[in-house]
Amino acid sequence: MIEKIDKFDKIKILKGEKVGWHRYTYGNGEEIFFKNLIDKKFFASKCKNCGKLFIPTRIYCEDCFEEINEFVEIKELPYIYSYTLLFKDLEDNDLKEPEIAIFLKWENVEGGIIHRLKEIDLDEILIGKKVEPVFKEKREGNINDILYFKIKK
Amino acid sequence: MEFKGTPLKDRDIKEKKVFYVDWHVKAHYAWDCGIALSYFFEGLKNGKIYGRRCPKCKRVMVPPRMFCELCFHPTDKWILLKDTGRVNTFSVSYLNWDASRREKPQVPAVIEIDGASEGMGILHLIAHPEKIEWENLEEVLKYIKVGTKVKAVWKDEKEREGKITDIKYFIPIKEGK
Repeated sequence: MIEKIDKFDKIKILKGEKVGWHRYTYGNGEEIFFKNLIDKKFFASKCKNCGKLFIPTRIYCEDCFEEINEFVEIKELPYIYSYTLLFKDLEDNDLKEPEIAIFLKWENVEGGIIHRLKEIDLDEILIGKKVEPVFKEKREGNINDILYFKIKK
Repeated sequence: MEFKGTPLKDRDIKEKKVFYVDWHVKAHYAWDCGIALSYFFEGLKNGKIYGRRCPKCKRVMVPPRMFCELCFHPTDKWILLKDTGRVNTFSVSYLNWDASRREKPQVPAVIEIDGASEGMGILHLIAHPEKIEWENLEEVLKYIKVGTKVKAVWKDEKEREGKITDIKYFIPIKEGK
């Protein structure tokens, strides 16, 4: 007969951890965006056919499939397109204080980036507000060269 | 067909000619052992290897299970097995579990446990009877063949946790012991 287990401490659970890592190279197109972050600049790709701007940079226009050779600096500040409150980190641990993840867009530019928003009261209305980046002192050409964004006062 | 692209070399990464990000992932898991294996691991903690008997075909199975996969009949009895056995199959490996290279080989083997039915065994490591570590393939083959008698070497009772590693390894022993 099958034994009925009514004491769950008799059931063993083995815990473990699998570790892996990967390396992502940006490639010829995206690299231009990250290279320019070192100089605190935001660059966009400009399609010579339709004139559309893209962030992050890419080497093909996704609308007309035209090859892109022109990259321009976007000096205007981005605005908050959408946001999410995060209560857990990537490994499912509780955060002491909730963080805000935002999706940023630039006026008249296709695409955008995801980043953190700090120095803000949760009551403030967020969508549409202009934000400015706070840069790291030592920059290496990746998205974390920007520590976070804050609302432009 | 020729593909357009930008091939990369190790050198390009080392000299930071291209930009990249590294990401390290930690994936936690919890594996529920179920009724049969929980009992089995609890037994290991006490220095005992348990099998499970099928009342229909009378096989004694290890690792234990709650039903017989041949008769589809629930198993009914815990059987205490010996901590000796015979090599069913083995391998001489210069790789660790994560595919990193070893200088000296290790010997993973399926060991048929004495007291269990034929072909019933567990996967474990076999160590050199005196110096534990094997020097090379030739040395392993001097001691181990399919059918060689082996005996479990247990961790100290205090160190046991109810895991398969409570048995440190098996070592070859002489016949009749």
